Amino acid sequence: MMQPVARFRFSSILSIAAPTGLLLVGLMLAWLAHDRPLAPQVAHGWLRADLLSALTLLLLAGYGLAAVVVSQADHWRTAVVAWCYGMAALTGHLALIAALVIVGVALQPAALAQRRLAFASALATAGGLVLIAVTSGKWLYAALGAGAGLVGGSLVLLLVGTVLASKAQSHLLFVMACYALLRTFSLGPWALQWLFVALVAGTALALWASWHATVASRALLPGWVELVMAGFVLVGAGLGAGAGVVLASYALLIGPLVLLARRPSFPLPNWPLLVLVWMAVAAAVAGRLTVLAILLGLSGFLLALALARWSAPPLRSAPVGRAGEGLALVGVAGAPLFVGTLVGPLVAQLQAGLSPYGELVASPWTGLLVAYNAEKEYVASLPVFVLVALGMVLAAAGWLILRVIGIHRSADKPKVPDL
Amino acid sequence: MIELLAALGQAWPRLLLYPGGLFALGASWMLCRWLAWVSRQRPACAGPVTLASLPGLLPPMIVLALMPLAPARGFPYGLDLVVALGLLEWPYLRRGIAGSEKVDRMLLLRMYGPLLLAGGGMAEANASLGLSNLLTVPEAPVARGLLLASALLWLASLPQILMNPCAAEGGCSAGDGPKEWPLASLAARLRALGLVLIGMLALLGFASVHSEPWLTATQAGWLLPPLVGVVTALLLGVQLRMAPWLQRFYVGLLVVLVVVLLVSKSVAWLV
Repeated sequence: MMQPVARFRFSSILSIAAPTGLLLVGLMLAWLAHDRPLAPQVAHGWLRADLLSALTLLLLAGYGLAAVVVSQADHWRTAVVAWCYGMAALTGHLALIAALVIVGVALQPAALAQRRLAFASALATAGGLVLIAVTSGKWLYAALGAGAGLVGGSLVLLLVGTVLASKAQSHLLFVMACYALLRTFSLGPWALQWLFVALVAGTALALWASWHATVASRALLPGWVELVMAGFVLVGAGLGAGAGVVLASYALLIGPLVLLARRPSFPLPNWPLLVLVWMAVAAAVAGRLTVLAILLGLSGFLLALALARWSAPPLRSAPVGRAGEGLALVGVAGAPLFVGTLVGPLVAQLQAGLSPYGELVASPWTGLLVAYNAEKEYVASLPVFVLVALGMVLAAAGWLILRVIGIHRSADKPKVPDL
Repeated sequence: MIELLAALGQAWPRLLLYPGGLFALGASWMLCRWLAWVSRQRPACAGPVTLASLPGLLPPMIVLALMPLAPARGFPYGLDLVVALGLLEWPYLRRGIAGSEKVDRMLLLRMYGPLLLAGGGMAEANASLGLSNLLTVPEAPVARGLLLASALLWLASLPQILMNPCAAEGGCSAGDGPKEWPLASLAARLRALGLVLIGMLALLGFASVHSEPWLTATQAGWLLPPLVGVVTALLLGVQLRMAPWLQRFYVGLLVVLVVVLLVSKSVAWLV
């Protein structure tokens, strides 16, 4: 009788402790690799970590913790898979990354539906990585000349892996597929036609998913929103510029909040998703792709309709709902901090493969997000802190005026004599 | 941080007087009366503003306060088209369709499609989404034509969005007037004023370019916004009095024009 209880305790402790450990390692790595990638000489390139690795660790931890809250079973497996993928993000050997991706998908929770899709996605991602190595003849991605492996076949396999992972709703695998996709930018630039393929695929996915999200029921809505966000990640990769990487990173960062919204009492993060739509449109205009910006704006409008439809959950006053709104607020107010301190240096580290067509920068202390085009001209701006501050000032003024008017009105009424 | 606090300190006249605050309240009231007179409807009185309706009022008020209109002093943290549209429309959509069983996507797309296209056209004309950039008229003739056509399309799509009571505003919250008159609540009036002013910005840019030989910058700052505002209101009135088929034809013509100019501008940039 005692054994199941002990097992339950061990697995529940593991399921919380393992992602928390990953989170701490990620934060430490973000601090250590802030200026240049960590690649100790003794490891001969097998161990290599930069800010993209740190961001991946943080995302794996976030998705792992969110999965523990949302799902019921197999928590320890989720923790083990998260660590397995975390190791993959820390190594510089392409074959080892590919192997760890496949091991991770084999270890994934048995309850996961669409196992075949997840396997196909892992195989495509691993195949893309191996093809890069085979074509270029370099198995360490940091080696000189590894960029020669960025041929059509490998990029298509990585794109297919990302789409399948988002369709399989296997979140940790999706983070890993996005890691592999964004990692290619540290090898070298993509050919123009493959950027175009990524843009078309991402826009089509975002439009299709947002069209369905508009009429989806509350239980199915987070799944569709995740697909829209996957489309934005692909668009971010397809833009092949700093602004695109910021867009993809922010989409991945707010993913755990959308995953948490699978619980009916947890609200969807409306404001962070609207910031994401702004980033997508701004990045497209900064890249001088106005048609893409209009299509992304359309997708964002449909997404906003879907969010507006379910924006007043019945359990609004419940503590879980309030916690969700608090987290969404942190997601918005933390966006300039996230972009300024983590993604800005990350874009600088991936500079080898990025074009100058679009840059999204933030000043963490004034809360201003600004997009610039290739000529360094101002394209779009989102002054987060100014909007919040003005909103607070106006709300306080409105409250005060209403109170004063209310007092006058109540003073007009004839007083009931005290008896 | 100090920079932010200093900028917020300069925002007081904008928040209280112009272009937000008192001006926004007065102008939105006048716009509501004008639209009611033109469309031959009785303007319903706005109900008393309550604490519950404050969250719907704040976003449009912030957009109006940060509108780059002369003679207000410039503000370093300006908005762009996407943020302004989001702040104006999100509370409205949320109030209108929250909790509704079915959403008529096609109707909403017919309403908002031309508006999104016009926004894209304005962004392409100046290669920027910034509201303050709408005031600068580009040199190239194609870009110039695109900006003008997009601004006209923006204004042409407004009657559908402003005067359609059944589209999104299903349930009226407390403090709203009768359902028939769509601009009854203060939040809806401020939203309408915001949308009209965005369309007006590009026209203001054209007016300031053409009046350059006769007016100094200070005179233009004081004179042009009210003049162009009156012209914009008259244009809206004409559109509201148009026969429905003529209105559809006008919007369709502008859509085709904007698409053609957008494509030619993009191709010219690529080649």
